[in-house]
Amino acid sequence: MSNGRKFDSSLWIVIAGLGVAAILAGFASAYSSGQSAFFLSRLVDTTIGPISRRSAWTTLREGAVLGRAVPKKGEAAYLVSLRLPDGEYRAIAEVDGDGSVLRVHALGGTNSLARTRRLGALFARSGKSGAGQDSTPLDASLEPIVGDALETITRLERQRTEGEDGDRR
Amino acid sequence: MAIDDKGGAREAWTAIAGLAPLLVFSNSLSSGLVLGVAFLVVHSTAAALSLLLPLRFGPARVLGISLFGAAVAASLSATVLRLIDPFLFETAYSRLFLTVCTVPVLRACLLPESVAERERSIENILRGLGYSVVVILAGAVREFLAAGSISVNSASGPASASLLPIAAQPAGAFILIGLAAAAFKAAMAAAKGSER
Amino acid sequence: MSVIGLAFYFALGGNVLFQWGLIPSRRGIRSASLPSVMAFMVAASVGGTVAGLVFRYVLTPWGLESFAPVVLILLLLGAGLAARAIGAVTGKANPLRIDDGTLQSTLVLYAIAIMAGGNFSSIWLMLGGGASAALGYLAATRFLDDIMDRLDLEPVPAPFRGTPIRFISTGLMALAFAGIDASFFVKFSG
Repeated sequence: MSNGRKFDSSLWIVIAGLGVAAILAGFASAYSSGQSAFFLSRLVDTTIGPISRRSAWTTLREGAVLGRAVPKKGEAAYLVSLRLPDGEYRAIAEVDGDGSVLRVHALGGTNSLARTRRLGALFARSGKSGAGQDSTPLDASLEPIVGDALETITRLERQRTEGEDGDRR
Repeated sequence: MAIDDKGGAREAWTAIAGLAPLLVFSNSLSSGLVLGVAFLVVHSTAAALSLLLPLRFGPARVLGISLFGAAVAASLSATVLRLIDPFLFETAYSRLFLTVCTVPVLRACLLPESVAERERSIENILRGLGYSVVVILAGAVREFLAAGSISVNSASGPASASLLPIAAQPAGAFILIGLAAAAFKAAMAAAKGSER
Repeated sequence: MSVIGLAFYFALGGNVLFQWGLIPSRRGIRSASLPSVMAFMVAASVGGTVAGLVFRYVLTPWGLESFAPVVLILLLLGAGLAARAIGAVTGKANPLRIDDGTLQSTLVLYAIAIMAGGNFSSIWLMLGGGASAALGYLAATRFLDDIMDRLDLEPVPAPFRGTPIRFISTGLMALAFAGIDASFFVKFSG
C-alpha cells in the first residue's frame, strides 16, 4: 500500500499515538476479562451455594459451554448458553467426577418465546434430579442441542479430571 | 484510488446492505443498543480520523490508520460492554467486532480527496448517528413484534404473548427491512406525486 | 459435528449470508472465475484458521478477547500488504482500487475469521469451517442472483422493485434454509 513517499514526523506521531491507544485497549481488555471472571464465578457460587463456596473461573467457549467454575472442595459447575437463531437460554450445570450432570440451575433466557422456554425446560430435566416426561412438537428440534451441550460438558469434565490425575502422578 | 458509485440509488442501497449485518443481529432493544452505540463510536472514529489526517499521508496510509483506529474503538466498546454485562458480551462480541468492517465504516475510512468532499465528511459523521439510531430502532421494533413487549434488560421477564416470533429471527429481519424499504419508496413516490 | 456435517451446515442453516446478513450489494457472482472463487475459499479457510488460533490460544488465555478487532485488522492489513508486495514482484501491481465488491469481500472474510475463532477449537474444523462458509456464501449469492433475474420477468409492484424485493427474497430463502439448522446436523453426524 505504500505510495513511495517519505515518512514525515507527523506520520510517526500519529502511529505512536495509535500504538499507545492500542496498548491501553489491551490493558483495558485484560482488566475487563478479570472482572468478567470474577462476576461469573460469583454468580455460580451464589446460585449453587453454600455461601462459603469460592471457585476459580476458566473461560472455555466450547460449543454451548461458556466456562467452568471449580471450587477447592466440591463439584465443578459449567455455565451453559444454549443458542437459537432468535435467542438463548442460560443455565449452570453441576457435574460429578465423570462428567454426568447432577443438577441444573436455570438462569433464564434472553426472551420469553416458546422455543427458548422449552429449551430451558428440556435442559433443566437433563440432570439426575430432573423430572418430567412431557413432550411437545418442538422437542425434536431442541433435544439435539441439549444432547450436544451435555456431551460437551462430559468431555470437558473428563479432560479436566484426567488432567488433574496426570498432575498428581 | 477510485470508488465505484452510480448515484443516489446505489448509495442508498449500499447503506442499507452495509447495515444489514447489524440489523439482522439486532433483535432486541438491548442488542440494538449495544450494536448501535458501538457502531456510532467506531464509525465516528473512522470518519474523524480520515477527516483530520493530512492529505499528504496518501489514501493508502489514511485507510490503514483510520481502520486501525476504528478497530481500537471497537475493542474499547467491547471492553466497556464486558464490564457492564459479561453475558451480553458473550452474546454480542462477534457482531460488535464486525462493526469495524461494515461497509459504512470502511467507506468512512477512505480519504476525502477534494475540499468539497472534506466538507461532506462532517455530514458523514452525522450520518453515523442516523445509522446507529436505525439499528437501535430495529432492535426495539423486532423485540416488540416478537415478544409483545420491550425491555432494556438482556434477560427475559415473565412470559408475555408472542405476536410474531419470526421477527426475532434473521429471516424476519430481512423481510421487515424489505417491507420498510418498500414503504419508504412508496411514501417517497407519493410525496413526489403530490409536489407535482 | 464432523467436518462433512459442518460443510452442509454452512451451506444451509448456518449460511453466513442469511445468519450474518452479509447480503451483497450488487449482482456479479456469475462473472467470478473459478480461480477467483478458489482464491476466496482459500483466503477464508486460511484467514479463519489463523484468526481462530490466535483468538483461542493467544488472546483468550491472556484475557484479551476484546482486543481481537485490533489483531484481526492488523492481520487483514498485513495480508493486503503481502498481496501488493507479491503483485509488485510479479509486475501486476494495481493502484489501490476500492469498490463495493472489494468492501463486501473484506467484510465476508472478516466475518468468517471472527466466526471460526468463536466456534471451533479443532484446527480441522477451523480450516473446513472457513472454506465451507465461503462456499456457502458464494452459493447463496448465486441463488439470490438467479431469483432476482427471474423476478425481473415478473410484474412486481413498483414500490417493491429493486432493494425491497431483494431483501424479501433473501428473507424467504433464509426461512427455507433455517429449517435445516444445526440440530439436524448434530443428529445426523452424531
